Amino acid sequence: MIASATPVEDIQHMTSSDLIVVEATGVHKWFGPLHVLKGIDLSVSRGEVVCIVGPSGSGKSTFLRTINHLEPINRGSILVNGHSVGYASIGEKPIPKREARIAHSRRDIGMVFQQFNLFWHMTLLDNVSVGPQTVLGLSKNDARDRAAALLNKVGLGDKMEAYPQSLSGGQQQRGAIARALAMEPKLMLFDEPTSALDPDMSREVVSVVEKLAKDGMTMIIVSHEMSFVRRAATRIVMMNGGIVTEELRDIRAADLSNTNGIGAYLNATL
Amino acid sequence: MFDWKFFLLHIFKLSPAYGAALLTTIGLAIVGQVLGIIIGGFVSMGRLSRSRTFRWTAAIYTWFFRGVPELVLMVILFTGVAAAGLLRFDDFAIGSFTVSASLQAAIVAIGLREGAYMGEIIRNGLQSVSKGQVEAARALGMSPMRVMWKIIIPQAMRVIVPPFGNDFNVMLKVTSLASVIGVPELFLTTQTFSAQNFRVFELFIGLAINYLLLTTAWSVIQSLIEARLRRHESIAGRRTFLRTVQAHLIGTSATDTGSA
Repeated sequence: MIASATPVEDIQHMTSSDLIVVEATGVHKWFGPLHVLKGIDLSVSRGEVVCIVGPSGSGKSTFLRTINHLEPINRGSILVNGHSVGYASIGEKPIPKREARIAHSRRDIGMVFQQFNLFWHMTLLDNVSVGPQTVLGLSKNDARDRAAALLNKVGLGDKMEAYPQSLSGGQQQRGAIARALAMEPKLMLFDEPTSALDPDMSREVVSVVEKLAKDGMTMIIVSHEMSFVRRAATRIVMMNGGIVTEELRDIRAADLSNTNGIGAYLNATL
Repeated sequence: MFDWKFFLLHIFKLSPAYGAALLTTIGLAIVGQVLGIIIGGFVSMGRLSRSRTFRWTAAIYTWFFRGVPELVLMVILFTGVAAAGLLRFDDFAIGSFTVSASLQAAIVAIGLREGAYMGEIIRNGLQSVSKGQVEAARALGMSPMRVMWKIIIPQAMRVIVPPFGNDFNVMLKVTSLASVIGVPELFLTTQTFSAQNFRVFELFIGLAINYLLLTTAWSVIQSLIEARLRRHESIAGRRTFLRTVQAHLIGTSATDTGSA
């Protein structure tokens, strides 16, 4: 039902390690005495769209934020394209990298937040071009061209000079997606991207994500939104109490109407 | 009897001594303020530091220099420290311009005082930047320095500038205290004039007008800076210069052009 976007011929030329974008092994995380991640193992291959679902407090957002090291981890390892984002060496006592090195490793990972977090002191065009210009070192004109193309792609071509405050939530979130894409990431992380939006605006965002999925973007999406699951996901991962409780790889309608596990959960939150 | 002829001549025909006094006042205020901003930057970093030592040092600095009157500071720095044999300010020249010892002491006193106030103002501004904005910048791959210059400082500026403006306004007036240690700024110069011709009323009304002109000019500059920092709130587009100044002086909100 959901076709992988990477053509089969390409896959045959790649070794299995080329295909793996995220490799999380035994990830543990404590907030003080609170044990929020209790040994997460998850491997995500190129072109996959993984939806992480689960009740509030299950650790799914925290786990997502450990992938680009917005949250440090206490044990285990997370490799993105074969490299650890936050640690110079991994093992029993991980040694953190210098902040500038961590920043460098984050370039390839785009992130979209629940509250959009567009920079309110910049126009939409500046929001999208600031990354390529300051981090990737593109010239101002090149960065702006790239930003303009992306804003057109997410349907905001007429809002480039607008400041975030004058945009609707859905427009802001699409802008935030364009900002992340401007870095030409190999992986996109979505942290409840539609939770702050009404259904109409949600739909705008879902359709952008769906397009990305068709283009073969590797994505990890934390969301309760059924439409992500229906229209974009290649795999569903259920988390509860800091561990992965269930995974669904081949998503069929039958699985989703199941009365146990993920099916039941998704139907209940629908 | 108010001598109008003398008054108008005094106001409109700057004597060289008075012109120099005006420059001294403005220079003292600006150099003291710049010094204060630099010190305040460090103080705010200390206040927000993870190190307890830095936090305490900055807190004690702020406590001390906000608590001691500027007048007392100037006298301690110029006379007391020299009398105790600790440090003596000496005149030095920049080109043909001599920076007198008393002016140096006044600049240092004002800088130290400003450092304490600016430290609090900057700290408040930095703390106003939301965590989400910083996270979004980090997620883009910006290094801590880039996050600081591209996101935190520009956003903090909107919170920093209004209290900074009030503070500088106070500073323009505080410079008059430097007269006590013999800095020939506006107040001391006016006093010297009045000792020569006893036109105390005319001279000091003139002085009041002078300070008003300075603070008004600053008000206008401040309103322009604030309007620039609030561009993002206006969807009606840029305001004209006149409307910006008018809104600032009359006190209507600079943001009432409407936003979504």
